Amino acid sequence: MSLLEASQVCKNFGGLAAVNKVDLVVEEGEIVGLIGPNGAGKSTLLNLIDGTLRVSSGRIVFRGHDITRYSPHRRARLGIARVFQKNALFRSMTVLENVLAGSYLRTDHGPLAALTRTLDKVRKDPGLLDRCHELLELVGLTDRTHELCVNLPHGSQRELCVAVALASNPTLLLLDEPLTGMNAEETASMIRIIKEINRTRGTTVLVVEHNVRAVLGLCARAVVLNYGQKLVEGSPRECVTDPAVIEAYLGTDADVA
Amino acid sequence: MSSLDLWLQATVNGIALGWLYVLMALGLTLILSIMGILQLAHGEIYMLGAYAVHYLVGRGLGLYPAIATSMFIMAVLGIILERGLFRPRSGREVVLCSIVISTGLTLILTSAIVVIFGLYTKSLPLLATGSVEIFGAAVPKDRILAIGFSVLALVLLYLFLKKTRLGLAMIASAQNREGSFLKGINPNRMSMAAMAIGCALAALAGALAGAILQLQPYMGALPMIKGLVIIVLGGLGSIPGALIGGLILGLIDGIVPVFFSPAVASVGPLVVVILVLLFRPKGLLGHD
Amino acid sequence: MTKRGWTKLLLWVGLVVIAFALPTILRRDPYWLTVFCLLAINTLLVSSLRSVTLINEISLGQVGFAVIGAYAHAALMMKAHIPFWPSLILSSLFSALIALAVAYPFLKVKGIYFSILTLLTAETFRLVAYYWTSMTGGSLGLTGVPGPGKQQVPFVGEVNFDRPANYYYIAVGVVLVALLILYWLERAYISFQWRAIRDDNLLAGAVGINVIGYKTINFVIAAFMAGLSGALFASYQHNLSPDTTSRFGVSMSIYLLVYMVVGGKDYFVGPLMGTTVLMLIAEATRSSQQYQPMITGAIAILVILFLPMGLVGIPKQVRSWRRVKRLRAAGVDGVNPAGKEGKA
Ligand SMILES: Nc1ncnc2c1ncn2[C@@H]1O[C@H](COP(=O)(O)OP(=O)(O)OP(=O)(O)O)[C@@H](O)[C@H]1O
Ligand SMILES: [Mg+2]
Repeated sequence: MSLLEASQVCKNFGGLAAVNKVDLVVEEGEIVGLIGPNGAGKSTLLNLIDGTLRVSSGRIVFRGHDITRYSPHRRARLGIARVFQKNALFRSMTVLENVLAGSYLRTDHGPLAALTRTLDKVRKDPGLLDRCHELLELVGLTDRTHELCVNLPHGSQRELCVAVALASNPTLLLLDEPLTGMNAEETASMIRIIKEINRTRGTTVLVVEHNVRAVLGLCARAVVLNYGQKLVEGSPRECVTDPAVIEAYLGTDADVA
Repeated sequence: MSSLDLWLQATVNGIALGWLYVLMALGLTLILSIMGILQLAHGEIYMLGAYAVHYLVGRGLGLYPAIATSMFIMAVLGIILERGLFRPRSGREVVLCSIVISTGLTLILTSAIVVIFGLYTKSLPLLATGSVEIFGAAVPKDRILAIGFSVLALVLLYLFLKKTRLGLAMIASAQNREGSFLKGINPNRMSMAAMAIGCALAALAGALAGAILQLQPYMGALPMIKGLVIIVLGGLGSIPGALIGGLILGLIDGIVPVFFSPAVASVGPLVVVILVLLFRPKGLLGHD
Repeated sequence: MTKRGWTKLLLWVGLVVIAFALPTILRRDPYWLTVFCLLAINTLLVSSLRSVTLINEISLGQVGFAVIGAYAHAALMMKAHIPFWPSLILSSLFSALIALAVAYPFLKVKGIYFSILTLLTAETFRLVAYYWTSMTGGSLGLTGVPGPGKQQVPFVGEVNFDRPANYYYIAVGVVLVALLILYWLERAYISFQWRAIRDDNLLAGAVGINVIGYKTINFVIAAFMAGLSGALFASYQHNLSPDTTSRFGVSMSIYLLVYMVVGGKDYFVGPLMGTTVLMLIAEATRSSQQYQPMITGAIAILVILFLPMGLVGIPKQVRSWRRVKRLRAAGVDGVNPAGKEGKA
């Protein structure tokens, strides 16, 4: 059984079919690339997988559970984590607090416990703190633990987003353009991070990315979307040399030259 | 009175009321969708509009010129309020600011009217006297005139929004503020226009309500709430939505108390809104 | 504990001591005691409103839950002859139950929609009270709502708590306990989830937080507190009126918001501060009662425009002005004077 099976999923916004009858299968332990020109429906597809949006039709199965109608937090509970395209962070919190909030699923003992336990106690839980620091070390933010997250530069915020997503110890990590706006050094380090979590933790990764070189380096398999539909699927190299893909990109995006 | 008669009168009353709510909702929806703020003092503009007519009529002006003048004054007041108070300031929580400022305004305006005109109810001259027969039932002429004026205002607004440059720019700005800013539409001008039109519509609604019913310093609270509820019902920014929402609320208010207890009628809007939101979170005609 | 923590604790203890010493201090002036009693009840209501801001929503419906608490308390005591204390709790629970019933559709929508819905709720509950004559006395109002009556107090003996001077102790005591609970909640782990939801509700859902669930808990607790304040009010005033201009009209929702913002909505003591200052100003200007709403309204507008952090936030505000001035002097431009740093 595959880890994630999306079959015939559609999402309509008014008259626009942002995602149209897409089949997507992700196997355990893979890194899969999801590419396509702007507005192709990549982010929308991720939204459908993590529950931010509900499908208009179609079915999504994750680890044998039909999650089509699940709300986002139930999907997170099953092991889906998400990094949004915009830097989504808990704005009023420090770097460490962000990761702590991301660790919610590991600290959750039901609402009654949340009402009776003090925040300080959770904050000072040594096991939890160790894990958070480990994650911050992984993404290279150990020296900024107590800074407010909004004061970080864009690249570091992006890394923090990844740390927050990883804090729940997900089986499937959905990354939406993790490399946009990063310089060469940050790009290299982010690629290293993604590879490392895939190798050491066995986390499956579904990554949307415009940077073709990065996709070639990261993924064993890629899926191309265009106008909400799946265009091609295969090895990244096959995908980017496919005439249909080149045509889809021509005039819209120069990255593929 | 026959039961048909009762039905018909209740329906006409409901529709007349509904149209006044629609006028309120149209102004509020313009302001809300273009400026992104909750203007809770809109009901007080409605009240001021009615009192302005009362004052002008007392000074010897005819009813209709007085209504037109009052609409104009309120439009100017709307522009002043937008420039002076509601224009969003950077780094603030826009919604909270607007709610607090408009609540402050509500307090100031109502108590000013209480100070000037007193707490007692006032009245305006009738729009018309007598009644016409519809299906054998007597329907007061002034209700029909009030409905007529409201329809006229709606049609004019619709034409303005769809046919003029300013109107089209306003629609664009309501749908996508940032996008239209990039296309060279000045959001501050759009906000001013929205406030001016919204306040003029509120003044009209207030004057009509004052002519049908009575004037009273607290008369604005209810129509303001109704207007807001209509927006939720019909969908933010949708004119047909406001129309349908307004008629639903008007009919609930007009008909239900006649046949059931008024307590049931007062729960009606809440129940309808909850049902609509459960099945269509963006309102009846709103889209996601 | 930190030094600041100790100072805070000391201030609180001082406040409580003063609150309980007031009846002795104001022995000659029972009128002021009724003012302070109402002040305590209002502070609870405003605090319930502030509690909802923790999930980044502005509830204009707290008055509605106070209406429910007040009339439920009156009905339980007058019709079912339930004693004061159980009735107080039951009526607050009833108010919380109603909140639970409407929570789902309410909390699915956000921002302006939520505010509108809660405003509609408050008005609906008021109208029901207005028209449901058999239960509530309708527009004429409900008179003769009983107080706690005579009760045995250890070491003191029998006390008639229907006397305003004695009811004061009950009101202040209950409000203090309620405030303590609210304070605890802000220190509890749940506040962290609320904060996460407030900061970014999509991300909160993505990390596994049940957004609607935690919002519901918040909303229900706030409704409980509002209901409690309503019930306390019923036994304080002994008569209830659902008029537009009464305590349960829309204008009261408005006043609550003003109290909160003037005090400072980011601070736990904000509601206390705002309610105290504005109610005292109202008392001071009693002679020109007509102008009172004007003064309150003007204060609200001035505070939100020039002191967005409220009265409690003045020290922080001054510090931020100074910083901006320094930066300007150093030639850094485009800084935002009202800029809010995240909460420390
Ligand atoms: N909430 C929404 N409401 C209406 N239309 C939407 C919404 N979200 C996305 N769309 C539309 O759906 C289409 C697909 O958008 P999506 O964000 O999924 O594209 P994308 O492939 O992620 O593009 P990009 O590379 O720019 O991120 C676009 O045309 C977009 O305008
Ligand atoms: Mg995208």
